Amino acid sequence: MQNYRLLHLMHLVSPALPVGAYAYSQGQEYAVDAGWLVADGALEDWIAGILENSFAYLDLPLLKRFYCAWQAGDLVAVNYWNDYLRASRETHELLLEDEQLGVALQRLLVSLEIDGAENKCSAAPCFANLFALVGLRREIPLEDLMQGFAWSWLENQIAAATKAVPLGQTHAQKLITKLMVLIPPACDLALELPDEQLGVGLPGLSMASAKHERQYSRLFRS
Amino acid sequence: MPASLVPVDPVTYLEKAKQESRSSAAVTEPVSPSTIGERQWLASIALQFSAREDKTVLLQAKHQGPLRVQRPFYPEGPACCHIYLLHPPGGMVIGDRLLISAELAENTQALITTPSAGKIYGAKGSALVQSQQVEFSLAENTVLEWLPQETIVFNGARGRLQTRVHLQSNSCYAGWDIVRLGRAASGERFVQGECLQSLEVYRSGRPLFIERNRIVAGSKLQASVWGLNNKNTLGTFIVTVSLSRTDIDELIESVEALSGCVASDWSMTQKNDVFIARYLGDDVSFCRRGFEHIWNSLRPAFKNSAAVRPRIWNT
Repeated sequence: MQNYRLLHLMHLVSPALPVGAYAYSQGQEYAVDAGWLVADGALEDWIAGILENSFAYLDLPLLKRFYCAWQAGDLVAVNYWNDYLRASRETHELLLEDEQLGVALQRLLVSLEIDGAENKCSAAPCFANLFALVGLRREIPLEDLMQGFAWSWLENQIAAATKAVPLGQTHAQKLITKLMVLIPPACDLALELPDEQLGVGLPGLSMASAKHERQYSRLFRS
Repeated sequence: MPASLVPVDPVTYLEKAKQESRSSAAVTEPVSPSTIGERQWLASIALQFSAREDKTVLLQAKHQGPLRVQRPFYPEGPACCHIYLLHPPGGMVIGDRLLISAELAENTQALITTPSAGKIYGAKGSALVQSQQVEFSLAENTVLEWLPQETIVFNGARGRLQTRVHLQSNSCYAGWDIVRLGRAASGERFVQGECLQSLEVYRSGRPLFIERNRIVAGSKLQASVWGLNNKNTLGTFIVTVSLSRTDIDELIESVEALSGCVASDWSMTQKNDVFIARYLGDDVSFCRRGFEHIWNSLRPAFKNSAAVRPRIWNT
């Protein structure tokens, strides 16, 4: 029997997946506008810092919890973690991004007839929630799914930088190869993280995102 | 709900903590930074508010150790009870644990503040942490304002600051938490130690707002623009109120108009029915001033009454 897991994972992490992630910069656009990312290495430090200190403590460990909850068919837990992730989004725009990506992915998964995608949470489904569901249904192992999930986030941040900074294509490719080595340790951390340590607070990122909501002229959505 | 995330019942929690402390001789001894050894010191206070017709009364204030409240004040009439929470030692030494809880029965309103800044002293390399846990439970139709003065985290401290709030469908919470890293007066910098701070708000058992700050001296987070950007003061003020974009624009303008305001230190956002104002800067007294200004401006919106400044803030 053929194994399509890798192909399914490539499908899910493709920037062509029609969920609209490209429209968001997660505070990066404001950070550029405010002149925070001018120095050599500043952009790299911005993306690495968020990956290691925010994504690894929230999105990745939540992806694991959604995956396990869907695996157990535990809709109460799915719903709880969905509320938890929404409660942890620092600003209006970060919550809105998660809602819009989640709703778009749900629409896609329903049309692909993924079992469970139509389930209604008591609030809009988060992107990680449905990403876990489809990963599980495609039989993608959790560790691979987490790496793919982090990869698509990283690629999107780099793509945002090519527009916001703007960063040249060669420089962007160098940066992505440099930063991708942070993904496996971030996933390892996320796999072990206990419930009571979940969650984020990156004051600078929260400020940047809230200020982006009121930025005068924007390329990225808010 | 996963078992580890079932909200802790504050009463059970305090009972357990008390049992633990009874087995420790340390509770009966006076405490001072110079005499404390490697041991646990617990202080707790559990407040219960209840409605008597139109009045909010402090039904009970069970305390243990050096946490106290003064008699309630009613500077704005009987509906809202003002409470000053006192901790005469003034700060937390190695191994200290403060448990502060309040339960508001239906139709009550309370404002809780502190007469002076909280302090977390340097832990001198101890393995023990210094922890403050605050737990509020609000029944239906209640308003709680938690407006403490800042917490000063001395260099070398090992602080844990946890605030957890349980709301019902129409209870209202307005609370701020301000952390100052290092002593302002002496220009002390926070180069050793850590402060782990969390704020969790639940409504009808569902997570509504969760924030967790892991401040470790010398970490990338302390120095980077995505983290503290080497600033020494961090404040979060959340209010369960829905403001329009125009309301927030006006509020931002009015804060920026305060003399001495550094606009880049402030941000505001409206996340569903939670309004969040954040401060990240180097001026703890300005952070308080800004938060007080926001509180003044928003009180008619979330409580339908003008703010009445607790007199203790003048001293």
